[in-house]
Amino acid sequence: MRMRNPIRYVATPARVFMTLVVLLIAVAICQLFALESAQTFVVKAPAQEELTEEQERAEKLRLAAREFLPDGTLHLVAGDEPRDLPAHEEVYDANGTLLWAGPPKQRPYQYLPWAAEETVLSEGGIKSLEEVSPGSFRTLDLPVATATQTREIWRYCHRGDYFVGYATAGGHIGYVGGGGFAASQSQVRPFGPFRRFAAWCPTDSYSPTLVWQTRSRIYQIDFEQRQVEQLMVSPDSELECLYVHHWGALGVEETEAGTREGYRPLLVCRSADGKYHLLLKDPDQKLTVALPQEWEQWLGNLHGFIATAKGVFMRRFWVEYPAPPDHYATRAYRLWLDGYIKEDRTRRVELYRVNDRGDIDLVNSYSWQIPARTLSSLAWGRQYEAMQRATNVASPVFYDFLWWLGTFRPAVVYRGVVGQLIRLAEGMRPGLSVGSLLLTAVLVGLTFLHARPRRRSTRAFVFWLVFVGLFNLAGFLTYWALNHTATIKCSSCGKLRGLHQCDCVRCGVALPRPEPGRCDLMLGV
Amino acid sequence: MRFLALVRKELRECLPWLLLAGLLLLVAGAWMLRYEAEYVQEKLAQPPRLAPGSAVIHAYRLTRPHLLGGPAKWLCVLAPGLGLALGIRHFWMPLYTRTWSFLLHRSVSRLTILLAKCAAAVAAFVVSLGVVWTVLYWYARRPDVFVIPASARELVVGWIYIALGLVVYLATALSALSTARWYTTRIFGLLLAGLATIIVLSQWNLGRVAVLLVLTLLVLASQTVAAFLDREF
Repeated sequence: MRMRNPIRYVATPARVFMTLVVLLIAVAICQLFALESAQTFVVKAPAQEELTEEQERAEKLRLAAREFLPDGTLHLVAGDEPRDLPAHEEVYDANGTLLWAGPPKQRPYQYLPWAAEETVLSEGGIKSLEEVSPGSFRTLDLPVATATQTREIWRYCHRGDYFVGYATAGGHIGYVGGGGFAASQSQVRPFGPFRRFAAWCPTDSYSPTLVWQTRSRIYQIDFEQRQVEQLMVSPDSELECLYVHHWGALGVEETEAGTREGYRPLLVCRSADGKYHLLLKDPDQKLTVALPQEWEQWLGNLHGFIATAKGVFMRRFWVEYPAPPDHYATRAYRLWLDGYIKEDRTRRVELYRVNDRGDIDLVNSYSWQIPARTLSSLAWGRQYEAMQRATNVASPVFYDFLWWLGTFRPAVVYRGVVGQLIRLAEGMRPGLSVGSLLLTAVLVGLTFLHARPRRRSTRAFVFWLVFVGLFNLAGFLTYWALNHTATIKCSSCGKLRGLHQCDCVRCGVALPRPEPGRCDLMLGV
Repeated sequence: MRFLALVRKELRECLPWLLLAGLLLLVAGAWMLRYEAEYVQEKLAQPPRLAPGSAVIHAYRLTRPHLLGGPAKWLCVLAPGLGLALGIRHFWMPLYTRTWSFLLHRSVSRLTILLAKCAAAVAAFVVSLGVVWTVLYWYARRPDVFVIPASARELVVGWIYIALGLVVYLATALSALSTARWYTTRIFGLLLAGLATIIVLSQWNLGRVAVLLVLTLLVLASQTVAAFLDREF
């Protein structure tokens, strides 16, 4: 008896895995192509409804920006297209009365600006510098320079989480880490897990200064002076995002250049426990703003801060509609989304003053209605969803399992190509639809009919049936690619039998021997 | 002895490809490093294009390619190219020239023949690309030539490209040994190698890269061995 080669125990699963991976991607590409084609040629976009003059005005006010004057008065600012750089603006008061119209540069009102997010590189960005791809494999170099030449280069060391300094004339300078400047590697202290950084050049320097945010600290790094200042520490809760206004040259809009008078430099950071930590200058001050717990039950909750000479203000945008469930991979989330689309909502903007203890007092508030989606746009959405459901029929149940698993999976898995593939799979999940179950049943039936006469062991036969059930069309194609062998009619029972095994799977009779011919040299072999 | 003789024979057969890849990397890498040495010194001495009193908006103002970034691009193309050439020379050409029978009827086992081919391929990668890449890295580490020496990660990344070349070699071998049709499972090995290359190149964690490479090599190598032992030539 011939020994089964042990390499087959690895090679066979490897072959199944390889074929399945390739076919899953091939099927996904075909599904996406079908969906895109259907979207282009079949699904009709909703027709734009003609609006009356009154409706147009109401729509304009609904889409207008809500701006606050330093005294707390609210204005509605409606601009023409493009909305980010309009050539003409109209300013209304809270009652909808037109106050002024003209080019934005001539506007007679100065509204409160808000601390903005300014990031040169985030966590993902700095990791992409480490990617193996030759296109994105780069270094982060901070120069220390004069107007005529660069004197030093400080290179970020990803492994050690500190900067290493080199003189352009040659030679090693030292290290800069969380503990400040260090002459040797043994003395340098790492900054800690990186989150993001912003950079600017002071008015009298060509060397950038950094605001460096880690998981629990914010540093300000001045390479020219070789100084590291710890601006903020949050030992109990992780720091999440960073907003700045007039912090060095950070957070200064082009339109406000030269209007620094009246504003205090402000750095805002939110921690994972929902608190906002404010760092102010002129004079130096630290504030922690803890927002009411009940706010978390509402949708939106976008907060902005600004510090003027007259006080610190906070703006809050929110929607009078319950916040969505924690994870989208639940039935509750789906129900929430359906309700959100179909119901009218009230949106609110509020201005608060932040006192020296970090408490907030309401100054002004304004609300307006967001109408539910129109019937035509809902119909368009439904049509598209139906197309998506139709193409997702061929997706494996395995994608549903991945989607369900998403509840327990940390967000870090979503990064990179693997993360994109997982997201793609989740978007194409069949959702246990009738069509998908029907197709799976048909394919399992076909596999049964095909595999039964060819089966060599019950274990393999059951495995393929389960495999096709799990991976649907891709699973069936994998089965077919790896098991397509010829069959003959059994000479004994007359039913189909594969040629890979000696005995018939039904009657057990061996394969028939060919009749010996007259010219055969060897008989009875 | 027989094994070594087979390895020598395989190396002799792929010598032109091996020399071509090695020379291309050496010439291009040396020229780029020489150019880079002058350019970097010149560039470093120049003031940065940063305006006083303004925020830095774009990350590219503060980032630059690694010292071995230019040669790395060449290596990233040369390694899979060499893998493809060696795979075709070792497993495809004997099909066209009908010389498999001569090789298989020697007094050595099939596994020895296959191992000799793979050993020759690994040696070709190490000698032609690995050694040249390490020499380039050694040059880029010299503090008297470059102000900021190349980091150890640059050396590792080069070796990852070489390992990807080996993945392409095994995928080509598997496709050549398959008896299926081109439009069916025969091309799947090459498709998997392409997919693995895309995924590996988008990784930043070297541990994850190592796991992906080992998994891909295992999937392709096991099938190649099984296909070679079972196939009738």
